[in-house]
Parts: sequence; C-alpha cells; structure tokens
Amino acid sequence: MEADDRTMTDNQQMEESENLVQKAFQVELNRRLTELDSYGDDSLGEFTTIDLVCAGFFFIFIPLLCVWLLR
Amino acid sequence: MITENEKTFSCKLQERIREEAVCGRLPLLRTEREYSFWSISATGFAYAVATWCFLIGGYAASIVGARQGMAALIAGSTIGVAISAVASALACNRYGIEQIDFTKSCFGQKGSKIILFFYVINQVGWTGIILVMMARAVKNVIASMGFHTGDFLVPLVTLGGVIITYLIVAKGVHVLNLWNSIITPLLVIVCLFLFYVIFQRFGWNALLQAAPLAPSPDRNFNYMLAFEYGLGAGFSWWPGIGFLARNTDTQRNSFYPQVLTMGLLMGIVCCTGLFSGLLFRQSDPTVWMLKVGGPVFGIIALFLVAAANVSASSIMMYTAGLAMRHVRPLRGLSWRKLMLLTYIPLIAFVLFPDVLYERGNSFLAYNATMYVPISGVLLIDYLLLRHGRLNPSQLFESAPGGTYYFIGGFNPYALGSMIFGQVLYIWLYNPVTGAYHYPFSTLTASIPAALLPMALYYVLARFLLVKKGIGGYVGDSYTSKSLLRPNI
Repeated sequence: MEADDRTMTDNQQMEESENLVQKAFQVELNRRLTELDSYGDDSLGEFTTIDLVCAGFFFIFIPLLCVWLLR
Repeated sequence: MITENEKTFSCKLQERIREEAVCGRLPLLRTEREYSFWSISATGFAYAVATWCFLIGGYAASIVGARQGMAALIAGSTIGVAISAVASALACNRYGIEQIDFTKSCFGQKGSKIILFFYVINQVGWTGIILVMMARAVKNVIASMGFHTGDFLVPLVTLGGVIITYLIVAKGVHVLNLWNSIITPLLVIVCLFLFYVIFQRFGWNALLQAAPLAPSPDRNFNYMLAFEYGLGAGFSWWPGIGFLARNTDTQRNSFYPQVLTMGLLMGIVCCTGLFSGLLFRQSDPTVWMLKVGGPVFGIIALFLVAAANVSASSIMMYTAGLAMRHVRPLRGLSWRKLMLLTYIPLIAFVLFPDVLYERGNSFLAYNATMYVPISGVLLIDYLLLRHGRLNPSQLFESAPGGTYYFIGGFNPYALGSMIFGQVLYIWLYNPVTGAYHYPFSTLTASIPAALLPMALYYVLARFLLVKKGIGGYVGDSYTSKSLLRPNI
C-alpha cells in the first residue's frame, strides 16, 4: 500500500516536471524565434544567384556531361 | 529561496534545452553553431569514408567496367548531394531548423509526416544493411582463420549489433565522438592502402580491361543503372544534410563542403569497392577485403568495418529516433521506449539477413526513388516560389490557421507532384523487380523523376496556392507570430 502511494507520488512528480520541461521548451522556442528575427536577411552570408549558377554548372552540368561522353 | 533540488532541476533543464537545440528541434542560434568551413569539411569527410562506399562500389562492379563505373559513381553522387542539398542545406542553415521541420513549409504540417516515414525507412534500412555487413565480416574473419561457422552466426551477430547500438543510443551517442576520431583516420588509411595495392599489383591497364561481374545484355541499361547507384548514394544523404547544415556558420559553408565531401569524395571512395570488385571478381567487400592485402590486412580492415558500422548505425538510429519526436503521440514517450519502437523494424534484418543484404542494391536505388522527387519539389518551393524566405515561427504552429497548414494540414499539390515523381521513377526503373522502360537507358530514372514533378508543382502552386493566398507565398510577414498550438 505504502509502496503504491510512493509510486503514485513519483509518477505525479515526473508528470509535473515533464510539464515544466514542456513549458520551458516553449518559452525557449519563442526566445529563439525572436532572436532569429533580429538577424536580418544577410546575417549568414547570402547564397547568390551566381552561387546557384556556378553550383549548377560544376556539380550538375559537368558531371552529366562526363557521364554522357562515356556512354 | 531556491532549494538545492530546484537548482539541480534548473541545471538539468538548461542542459536538456541545450541538448534539444543541438540535436533536437529547437532552432539553433548563430552563436551555438559549431561548424566552420574546415570543421564541416572534416565531418563531411568522415561521413564520406563510410563502409557502405565499399558496398556501393561492389554493386557497380557487377554491371560496368572501371571507366564507366568511375564516371557513374563520382558524377552520380555529386549530382545527388548537390540537388538534395541546394534547398535543404540553405533553409536549414538560414533558420537553424531541422530537416523535417523545413519540409513542413512545402508539404504542410501533417504532410511532412509522410516525408518523415521515408526518412525513417532510409535510416533504418541503411542501419540494417550495414549491421548485416558487420556480421558477415565477423563470419568471414572466423572462416579465414580456418574455423567453420554455422548459418546461425550472421543472424546472431546482427542481433548482437542491434543490441549494442540500442544500448549506445539509449545512453547517448556522444560516446561515439572519440570512437569516430580513431576509426575514421584508420578507414582513410585502409582506402589509401586499397588504391595502392590495386595500382601497384595490377596497374591501370588491367583495371580498364577487367570485365564487369554479371552485366545484363543491354550495355546502356548497365551504365544508367550504375549512374542510378551513384545518384542513390548521393540522395541517401538527404536526411543528414539538414542536421549538419543547421549547425554551420554560413550559407556557403553549409553547401559547398557537403557537395565536395559527401558527393565528390564519396564517389571517389566508392571506386575502391568498384576496382576491388572488378579485380578480385567479387562484389561483397567482406569477401574481397581478405583477398586484397592478405589475411592480416583483411582481418584488420574487416575489424575496422565492423567497428565503423556499429558507430554509423548508432548515429543513424539516433537521428531516426529524434525524427520520431515529430509524431505527437510519441513525443511523451521516454527516450528508451521511443528508441525501442524505432528498433522494431530491424528485427527483419535479424530474421532474414542474407536476403535483405543481397537486396542492398535495390535499396540504394529506392533511396533515389524516394528522395529525387522530394528534393525537386522542395527546391522549386523554397528557391523559386518563396525566394529563399520562410517564417520560422510558423513551422512550429500546428493550429489550422498557421501559415504552413495548407489544406487540412497537407499541401496536396506538393504531395501529388512527389507521388507522381515516385510513380514515374518506378515506371522507368523498378528497383525491386529490376523491370525498366526504354527511356531509362537514355534519360535515367532520376532526371525525369526530378524535372517533371518540379515543373508540375511549379504550375500547380502558381495557380492554386499563390493566387489563392494559401501557404504564405505572398503577403505574409516573415517575423514571428505568437504560437497558438506549438508542436514542440
């Protein structure tokens, strides 16, 4: 009986602490989203259209050409 | 007054939040990111020199010679990583978000669960294959010492691998950092030694003259299939790309090093498997490794393969477990129970190890089947329709009014285009039965299965989403909105 009570109290405590963790996650998520907003668009260095064209040429077109030439 | 218990709880909470940010779903802030150009290159390099490269090279050796095999594997894996990284890496890096969260912007809050399913299949499938590879390595090492082993050994060692990796994952994969820092340089030495032995003992000419092991009569089909293996190897990285990119300091560093290491370099490492397969007339690396450098080298190499496979399997299952946290009913489960659930499909590899291992080439092509259309649709959505901008707060909003809720939680046009691409791929080349239709021998399956869904989705989204103001393509602010039903 006493052991059952103890298990119930432990379970309740675990549930409560999980709820606290969940709430803390949500607060932390909001904090992080606000910080992301403050970065602005170019904060991480822009991947420009020139990058895209170069990547397409060197990593897609050239390899495709090699495969085609060796047919 | 703060009690000692509260202090401990607060410390633990901070630790969990930090853990959730780095390895889980909280957006990773600029100050928390660990990878610069060199460190992302080193990590990509460690990923590229993986034991499955030997397997992939062996599959190619069955159908093409050295010259075509090299072109197919190197070009295929470079293209595969480039296409899968261009949207995922850039978005995950810009907002510090996890890959499945990113897919919500295109496929919808509920639609992303379908992508999650493919994601978990990829991780579990590769884990199973390399655990069986480990078991076969153990069996062949024992056999090379002159001991006879029964049929039970491979399932038993696979089961052992499953249990060991489960225990590692349940405890936390951080223990593997030191392990990997030892194993990866040793695998590099094995690769270099393999190249040295091949060119020193046989030479370039012998290699070029070596015929494929079991080609089909259609030469074009063989070549395109080898190219599909290369593409499949590249696209297999799709689930891992966001995980690395979100932890990288700049946009360019999140893209170029991944393509160069996990694409180009991986293709080169795959060639060790291709060359050894052609010269030693055996596609299974656990057999030819014993032949290449003699029994001592073979045993050391296979031991490294087994060790590396345990480590790679643990990391893949860990990321699969994290991804399962996206499913609401599973969010409340303890980590150990969640992982136990994720491990259940691996039982199939314990029961039928040889059957599933020998279908590894089908699984490789299957990865292209799944990820080619997904990557194509994501690329169009993020770069062309959204001009590289998302509202990150809305990725965490499950309420029906959320920006990325689309129609009932699904973006039917993105999902429809993806399914169209997958069906088209299977029609062009069915990785399970091996049946194919003519365009495959000229166009491959991946190229049409990427381009056509991209075009279809662009037209559908322009007319049915952008014009109707669904999905936040126009007129939506990019700053955070308060969340009604956060999905974290």
